[in-house]
Amino acid sequence: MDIVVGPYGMQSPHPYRRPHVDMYDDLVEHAQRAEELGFDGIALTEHSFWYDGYCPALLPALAAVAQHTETIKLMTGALLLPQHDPLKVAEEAAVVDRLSNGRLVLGLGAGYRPEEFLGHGVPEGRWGARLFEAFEVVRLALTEETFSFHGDFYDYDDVSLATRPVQTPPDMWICAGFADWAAKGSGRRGWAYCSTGDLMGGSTVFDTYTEAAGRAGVDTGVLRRGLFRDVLVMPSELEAEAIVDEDYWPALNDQFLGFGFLRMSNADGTQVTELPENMKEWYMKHPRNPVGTPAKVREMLRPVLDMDLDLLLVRTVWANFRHDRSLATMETFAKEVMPMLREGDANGRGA
Amino acid sequence: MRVGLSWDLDTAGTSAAQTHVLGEAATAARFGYDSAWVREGRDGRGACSHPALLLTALSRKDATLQLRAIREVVRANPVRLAEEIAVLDVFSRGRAGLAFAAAGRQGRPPLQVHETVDFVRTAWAADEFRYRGDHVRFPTHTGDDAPAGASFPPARGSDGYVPQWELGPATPDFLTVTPKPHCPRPPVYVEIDDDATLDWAAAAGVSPFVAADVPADTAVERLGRYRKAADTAGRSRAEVEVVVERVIRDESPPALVSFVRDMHAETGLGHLVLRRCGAGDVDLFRFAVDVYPLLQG
Amino acid sequence: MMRTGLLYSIGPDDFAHGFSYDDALAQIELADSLGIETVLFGEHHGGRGCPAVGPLVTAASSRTSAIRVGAANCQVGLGHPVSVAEDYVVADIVSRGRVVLGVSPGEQPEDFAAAGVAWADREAIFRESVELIRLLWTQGPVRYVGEHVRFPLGAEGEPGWQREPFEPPYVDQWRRGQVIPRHLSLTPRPVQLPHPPIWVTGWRRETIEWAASKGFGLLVSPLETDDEVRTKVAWFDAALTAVGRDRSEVDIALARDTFLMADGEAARDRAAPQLRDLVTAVRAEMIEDQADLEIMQDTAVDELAANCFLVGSPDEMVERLQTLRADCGIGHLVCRVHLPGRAWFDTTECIRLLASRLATRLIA
Repeated sequence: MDIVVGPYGMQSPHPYRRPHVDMYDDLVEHAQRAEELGFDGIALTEHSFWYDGYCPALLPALAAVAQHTETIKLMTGALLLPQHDPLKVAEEAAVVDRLSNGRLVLGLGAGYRPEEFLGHGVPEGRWGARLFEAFEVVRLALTEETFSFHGDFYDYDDVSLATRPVQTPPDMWICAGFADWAAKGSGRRGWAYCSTGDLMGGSTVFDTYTEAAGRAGVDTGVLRRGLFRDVLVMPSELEAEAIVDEDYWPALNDQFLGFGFLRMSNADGTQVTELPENMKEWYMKHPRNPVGTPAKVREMLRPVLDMDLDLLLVRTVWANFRHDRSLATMETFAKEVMPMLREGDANGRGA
Repeated sequence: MRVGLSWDLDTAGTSAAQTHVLGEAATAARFGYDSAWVREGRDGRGACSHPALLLTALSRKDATLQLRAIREVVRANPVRLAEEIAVLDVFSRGRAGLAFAAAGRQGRPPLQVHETVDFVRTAWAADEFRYRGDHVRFPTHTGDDAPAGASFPPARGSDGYVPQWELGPATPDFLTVTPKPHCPRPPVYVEIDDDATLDWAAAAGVSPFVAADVPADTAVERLGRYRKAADTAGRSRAEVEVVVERVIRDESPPALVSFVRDMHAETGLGHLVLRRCGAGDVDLFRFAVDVYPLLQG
Repeated sequence: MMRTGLLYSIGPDDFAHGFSYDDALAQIELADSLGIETVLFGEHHGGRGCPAVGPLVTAASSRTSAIRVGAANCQVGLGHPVSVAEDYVVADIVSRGRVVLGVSPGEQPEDFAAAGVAWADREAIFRESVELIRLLWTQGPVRYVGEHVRFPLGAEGEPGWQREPFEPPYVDQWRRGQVIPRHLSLTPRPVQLPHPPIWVTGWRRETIEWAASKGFGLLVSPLETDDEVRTKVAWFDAALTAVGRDRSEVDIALARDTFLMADGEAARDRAAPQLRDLVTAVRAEMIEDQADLEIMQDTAVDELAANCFLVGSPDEMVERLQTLRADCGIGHLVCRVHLPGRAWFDTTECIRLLASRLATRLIA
């Protein structure tokens, strides 16, 4: 199981504003530190048209990180593929793969904010279908010397990428929350699937994934499972709570109300402007979001060892945008939690 | 005079070209060269359809080179272009710039290049906006009733302002492109091969770029015409950079200096870009020592 | 108004209150770490500003990493334009391309008298100086012949500027011997291409229209009410359109005396004494060009607080600024958060609020 830190969104949100130029310097520093601490990868995530400067161009940023690291994998988690030209993504991916000597991991998602589609010239609707088609285009472009593709959205005849990636086949993942269509669609095609886990963070999404593969006659041995977790690990409960109040919850609050992470309307169709009172407590105790001391986080993460994972994406940065703090959290995780994950890992690299 | 290097990876031949470019650019930075230009290409083994990618990688290898992507509009989504160059600018602390290949070379109407430049400059400079052009429409659902070019949201008046993060799931008609570049206005250049683009660039204050395959006398003629058009439009020479790309092999330093200074006097050439082709290229160290100082002062 | 900045006018009146350059620089370091994007220093030859802003700009740039640094109102006519060009080239290099140069035709007749420059000629000197600065920053060897400004000294010929003609053979500069040069080039060259932004600030309509016609930016002073800002930007816009320039090419910046607290009422109370002092000081120094400004009339400070100063809670300010932005599309907000006599802590808290509660809401 690869343990990947991130994804980093390069956000400068209103509770904690910073110059972007400094944040991109930090990104390089974090990647180097993550490499030293034994993480297998570092991930970036993208969105567009959001006031806090959320990174909209992952592959160029990873190209820069590649210059200052040696072994750590560089992951897009996720690149919102339907909002891009898939052939261009494939070309960029090939270049980054060469620049990093085969360290690129392409996590590809659909996106969910209508303005991002409209802003990038993509009609609304059928985003899942677009994702699967575009994924196939990228896969073919990076795998085949010459390929043709005819779909509902994309059409190519005898295209060949001159610049080839180092990795064959490319390391590609569908990254798509817990939606049913994503689990089934990935399974049917035998593609690697990275999820947040089901609504309660459990592994039923992977059951759906495996079953879909079986029904489609795909060899379930090729399936790969990835899981995403938001983790906040602090020396004491008290410190964890303080950070939740200061950084984590305000950020989530924006994410829920404004960003479009959850779409919530009142009964009369008007916009929800205040989150339900119990939401914070519910969310912070949710098994998907381990928060607390190393011992508590270890306990909350232990179930993932039974999920037969190939990838664990650990976001320590988001709860905690502050540079020094998030670096400290990353270190605590590496020293106090990672050993437990390594020992219990059934998929290689264990004790 | 600024002196930079350019690479066309399409013709670079080998798949090691990208590593070669990064290495050569880092060397150039140490010798005091001013800029690195990477041209979009997608045919050769080392082709890079996306120069900003290489340039972003390069931005972490040195702290001084101005980084310029030479793009085509054929398959470039203007929104992505604005975003990618902004990220390059942030990563390089304000050293990014964008040049466009001539419309004719891409088989596109000049207007598409003009609209793309106009769009990108607005995306960097403006907050929320929309854009209606023949070739560029942003966001997609912008209707035909929108004014041509960029337009901006009306005053909200007493309706009250709601920050974006409290706005909820709306589908806004006006969007802001983020992050903004570190330097508020990264320079934009365009090849002036066709008259429509030449006249438009001169009037719009877009810097002219003359590629290496344009013969020297044609370059002088085109740049003279550009200057005349810019003068007519009331544009100062100081607002733009005149950039000329040349293949320089083993010309003797005096001949080379005479050529460049002549060009400077005739066209206002401010930025000489040495196109790197591989074998036979002028030695970077020798040029830096023997020629570069003679181009200053 | 997606970029938010600070304006510091620090002088002897501050020193009397125990506020030093170093105190200001420490606040600027804080602002830099919070993502505030610009800091400008005001030039003033009396108690309320710094007489030579260049060194402050360089000092600020060396203590910060991302913030853009510059002068708000460098009075280029008072000195020699070449030294202004040189000061800010060095600052641009030290800051790795973060310099902004705000220029002003002149603010006090006494300062011009002291410098031996005719007050009546200030506008003409200013225009020639700014043009020369831009040429020096961008061109190789040049000659400039103006009515008031000549470069190099003694340059003769057609009015205007001329690039050095090239006559082969080329002789290295270091082998030319002691010739009197007719053309000279400024070195080193700035980092920013084609040159660091130049923002023009001024009272007169002619100055503003000239700036637009030449493609310089506009910085509206903190002394103008919101309505006066609209008028001024409209002049600028009309002149810009008349010469076929686009708004995306130039910066429009707005300076405001700003004081923010979470509680708007408390902010107004706390800021009142310093704002009263400010109004008294600017009225005492009024020049003819400013006579029509609202702030120069008998308007009460409370009233100015509602339509000129930005004083109150961030929430109260957002709507005013959003309306202004929609009306005239301002790109930079430059806030003077420190005034003589204001407590250090009040200013730093104000900077924090500015960064977290106001700047973010002006982006999207």
